[in-house]
Amino acid sequence: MIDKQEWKQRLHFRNDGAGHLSFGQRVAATTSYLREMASRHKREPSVLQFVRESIAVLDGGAESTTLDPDIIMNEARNIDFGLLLLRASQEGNARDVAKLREWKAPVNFRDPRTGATPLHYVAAYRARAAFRALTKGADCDFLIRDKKGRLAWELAVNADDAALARLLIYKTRKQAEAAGVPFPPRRPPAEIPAPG
Amino acid sequence: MFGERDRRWQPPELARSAQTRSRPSVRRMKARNLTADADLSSWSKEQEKLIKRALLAYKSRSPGTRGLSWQGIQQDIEHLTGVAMGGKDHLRQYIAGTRPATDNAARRQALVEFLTHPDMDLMTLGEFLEPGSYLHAARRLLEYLRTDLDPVAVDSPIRRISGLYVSEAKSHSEESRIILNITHVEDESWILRVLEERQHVSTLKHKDEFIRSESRSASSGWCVLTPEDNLLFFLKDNQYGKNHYYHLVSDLEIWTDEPYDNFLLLRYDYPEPMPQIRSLKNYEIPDFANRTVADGLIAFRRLNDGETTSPTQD
Repeated sequence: MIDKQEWKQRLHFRNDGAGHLSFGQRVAATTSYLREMASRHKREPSVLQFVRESIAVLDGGAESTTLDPDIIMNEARNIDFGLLLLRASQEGNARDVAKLREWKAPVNFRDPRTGATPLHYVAAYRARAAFRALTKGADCDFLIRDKKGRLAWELAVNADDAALARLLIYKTRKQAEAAGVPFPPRRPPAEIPAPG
Repeated sequence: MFGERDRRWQPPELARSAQTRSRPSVRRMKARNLTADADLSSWSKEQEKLIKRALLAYKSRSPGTRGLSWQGIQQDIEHLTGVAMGGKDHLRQYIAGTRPATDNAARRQALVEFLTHPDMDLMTLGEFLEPGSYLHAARRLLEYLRTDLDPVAVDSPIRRISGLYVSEAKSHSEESRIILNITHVEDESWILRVLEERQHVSTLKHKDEFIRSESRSASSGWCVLTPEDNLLFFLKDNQYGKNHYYHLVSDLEIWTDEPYDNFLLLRYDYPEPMPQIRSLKNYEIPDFANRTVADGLIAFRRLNDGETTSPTQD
């Protein structure tokens, strides 16, 4: 994990709108952040592509109508924190999940490869403590499906964790009712053969 | 660190493995040499995929850049099985996906017989009957590894490896346990089926309180005993398909009569990044290995009959 003080500085930069910094300083800070982010996620090609394109925009090497370092910084931070949250969820590391939640990591961030959210991973790997840290006071979306069309509760069922599956089904049902949609089936409707 | 409940913990995959013998898929495998018993004319989606892949492999087998023509392949099938495949363009259209597979049971059966014929050796009947097991990848790997080597004249010692193995590691804040269930595959002398269960528990401090985290994952795959007495494991996460591999680093002699109870495996998935200096000097390699490869070395010991997967003792 990254040093807490370092994160604080970055959050300060973002939350302040960095109004006290000049445009050049904001470009430099964003570029530096993007480079660090690339070194943290060097096995994720989509991140490297995002970093390359963003740096090209910041360097003025590419045409862009939205050359605002704050916007790029915000997007980069979302991706960076989102990927860190996915990793912590995969490892079932409740402490890192709690920390990243405090730092406003996007709780429904989707893995670019599998389409899974942190909720899918904690369900798949029976990480109950991480599940508690993830859902505590958070607006987790229980109705998101991964690229295979699976909901989080299905993964808990596949992992033979009956208690976690029951809890996830309860929360999924509650969210579906609140949204006025029927309880989602195991697979997208297109994959379920029509009766008769 | 593991609670009472964890002491009794038995991986679900291991509990299921006892029932493996009664599974229909295994019964089908037993009948792999009895062509008459197997239904070769009704294909599942996976079986169709396998057939198409095998036909494409046959097409690209011949010398030249373009390979055989589809019409030529149809003639080969007819020559070997005595069954004509229909119109001259049918096979090409079937592979291209513009025509469904023929409904003619005799032609379907002839196609499977052609691909599984020993002279063709494009797939085995076992692969066809159990396409989801992915053991054909192990067979092809072994086939390549054995090329140009004399066949082994003695019985394979692979049955001695079968069993339950455990590896436990403990530090002041973390504890992990890996269980490998290695089972013999029927009719296979050099391939083993592998189920892996991992459990990781950590207690880390956050804001003056300790947070206990726990996660469990399961992977499955296979391993081959190479002509050099190596064991190569290929495992895939059951939920999200991520791969990892094991490579045998050290073991007891497999050909002796001594019990085969311990081995040291190297686990790896992603390669380690090179150090900043870019070019690693020879004298720097041991230090680099200590920092990187050493973390992947895992010692396994065999679980004896009746022994549970208890946590490590201090």
